[in-house]
Amino acid sequence: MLTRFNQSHKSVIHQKYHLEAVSQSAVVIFDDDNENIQMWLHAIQLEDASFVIDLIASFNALLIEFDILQTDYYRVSRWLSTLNLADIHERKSNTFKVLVCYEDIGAGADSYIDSYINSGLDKKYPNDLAEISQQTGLTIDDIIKMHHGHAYRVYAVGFMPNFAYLGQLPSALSTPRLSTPRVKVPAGAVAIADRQTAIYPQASPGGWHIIGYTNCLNRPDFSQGFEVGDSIEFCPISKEAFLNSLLEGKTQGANDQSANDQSVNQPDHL
Amino acid sequence: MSKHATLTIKQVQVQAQWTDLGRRFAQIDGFSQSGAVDWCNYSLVNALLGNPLHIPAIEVMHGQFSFSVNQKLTCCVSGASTKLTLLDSTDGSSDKNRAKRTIPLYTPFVLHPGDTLHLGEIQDGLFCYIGFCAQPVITTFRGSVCAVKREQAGGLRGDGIGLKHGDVVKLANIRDTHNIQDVDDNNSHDIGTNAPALLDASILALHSKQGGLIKQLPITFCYQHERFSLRDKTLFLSQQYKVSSQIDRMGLRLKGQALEINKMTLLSQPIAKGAIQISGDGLPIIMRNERQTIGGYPIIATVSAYGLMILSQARPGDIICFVDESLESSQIQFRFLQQALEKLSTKQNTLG
Repeated sequence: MLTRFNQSHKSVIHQKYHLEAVSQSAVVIFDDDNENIQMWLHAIQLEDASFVIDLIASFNALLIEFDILQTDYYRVSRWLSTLNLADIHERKSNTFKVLVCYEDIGAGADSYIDSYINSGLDKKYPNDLAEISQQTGLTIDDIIKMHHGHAYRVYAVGFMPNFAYLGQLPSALSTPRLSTPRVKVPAGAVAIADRQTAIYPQASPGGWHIIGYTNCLNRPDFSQGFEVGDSIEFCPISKEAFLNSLLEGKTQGANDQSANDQSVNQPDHL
Repeated sequence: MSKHATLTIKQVQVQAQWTDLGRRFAQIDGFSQSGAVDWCNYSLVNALLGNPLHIPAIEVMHGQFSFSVNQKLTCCVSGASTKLTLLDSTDGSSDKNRAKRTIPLYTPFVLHPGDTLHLGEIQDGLFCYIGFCAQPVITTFRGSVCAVKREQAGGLRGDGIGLKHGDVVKLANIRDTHNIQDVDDNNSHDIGTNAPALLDASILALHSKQGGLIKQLPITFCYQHERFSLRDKTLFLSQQYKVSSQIDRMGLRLKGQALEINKMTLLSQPIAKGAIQISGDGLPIIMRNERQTIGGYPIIATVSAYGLMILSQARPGDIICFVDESLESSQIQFRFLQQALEKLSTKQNTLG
C-alpha cells in the first residue's frame, strides 16, 4: 500500500492506493474511493505522456497500458508518484429514467414480435430472478422493489461501448456472477453482479444475472450515451408495454434530457 | 509502376480482416484493443518484406482465403501451416503458366497483374498473416485498421465487418522490390530471398510454435492471486489444461480440474491483455486482443506477450500448462524477439 499527499488542495488529501504491475505493459492502481480513481484518470490524461497508450477506469481500479518499447514498470510507477492530482471540476451530469420489464418475457415473445416485424431482434430473453431469489433468500417482488425507485450513479463506462457500471445495489441484493458466463446476453438486458447493476447496450457474452429488459438504449434521443457521474433510475413496465416498445421502436419517458435539472419526471407506467 | 493497386477478395471461408498492433485510447471508452492475435507472425511478415514492423497485414483465421491483384505486388505469408497456390483467374487475365504453382510460407514473392493467391486449409495453427510491400487505404478507428464485429466499429467500411467476397481494397505506397524472385521462375518450391533471412525467419517462426505438444505459457501471478489457496495455485501450475472449442479473438476457455472460487465476489475491474480469469466454474479463460475492457471474474495471473504468441496458434484439444515467470524475464524475452524482428526488417529492406 502506498500513501501520498496531495498538496494542490487547500486541505491535504490523504490518499492511499495500491499499485500493481499486472503485465509487462500494464499497471493497475487499486483505490476503493471512486473519486480518487477519477482524479488519477484526469491527472494522467492531462500529462499526455507519449508512452501511455490506453487507460481503463472501473469503480475501484485504473489500468494504465504503456508502450513497452519506450518504458517499463519501474519508470511508470516513479512517474505516477510525481503526478499532481488536481481537482476534477464536476461536469454537468445527466439524469436518465430507464423503463425496465422485470416480468419473464418467455418464449411467447418471439411469435409476438415476429408477427409484426422482422427486424432480427434477439429472440431469447433469459431471466435469472428465480435464481437470485434462491441465492439471496429474497422474494422476486422484493428483488424488483429493491432494484428500482432510486437513482444509481455511473461509476465507470467500459466492458463494451456505453456499458455503464451503476452502483451501488443494496448489500442484500449482492450476487456472485454466473458460474459459466452466457455466450450471448441479449441487447437491452438489465443485470446485476456483486453490488453493481448495468444495461447491456449490445448482445455480448456476459456473466451477470439478468433481472429484466429495456428498450431505452434504442431510442433515437438516446445518442450521447452514459458518462461517469450521470444518474440512472429504473422504473418497472409491464411485459406488454415492453413488447409494444420494441414494436414501436420507442419507449415513453425513457430519458430526461435536461442536463441541469436533476429532477426526474414520473413515468406513465408507475 | 502505378502509385495505387487494387486487391479484390475472392473467398473468405471463416474470418479475414486487416490487422495491425491494435487501437490506442479505445479501451477508455469501452472499445476493445483488437490487433493481431499472433503479433510475432504479423511483425515477421513485415520484417521479411523489409517493411516497418507495423504495416497493416491481412489476418486470416482457419485459412481458405483468396484474393487477386491488378498490379505487380510483392507479398509474403506467415503463420499457420497452409498451402499457398496461384489460381487461374476466371476472366483469363492471369498467366496460364503460372497457375497452380505453389509458394512456400515465410518467403516474399511477386504477384503479377491478374494473379489470384489462394490460402488452403490450415494444417496446423489458426491464424495466417498476408503482408504486402504496400499499405491499404483504410480509414482507421482509434489509430487502427482493425474491425470488431460486435462493436460495429472499424474495418474497411467502418462497420466492424471483416473482409468479404467482392471487397476491393486500394493499396498505396507501393514499394518496388528488386531482389525478390518471381513465381514464374521455374523452381517454384525454391522461390525466395536469401538463405540467412529465411534462417532468421525460421528461428522466429519456431518461437511461435514453441512448446510442441505441450505449450508452456509463462505467467505472472497478479490481480486476485492472493485470494486463491495455496492448493489452488499449486493445482493451477501443476496441471495440464486442454484448449476447449470456445476459442476466438476475444479469448480461450480451457478445460481441466476446477479451482475453488465459490462465493468470491468482486467489483468489476479493468482487464489486461493476457489476463487469466477464473470463471464461476473454476476454469480459466485467457483474455486476448478482442477482450472486453472490464470484467468481474477474479484474475489469478496474466500470460506474458511471449506466452500469448505461443498461445496464438493453439487449437481446440491442444494441451497447455503455465510456468511462473518474473515480469523482468518476460520483458527480456519480448525485447529479444522485437530486436530480432527489427534486425531482419532492416536487412531485408537493404536487400530488397
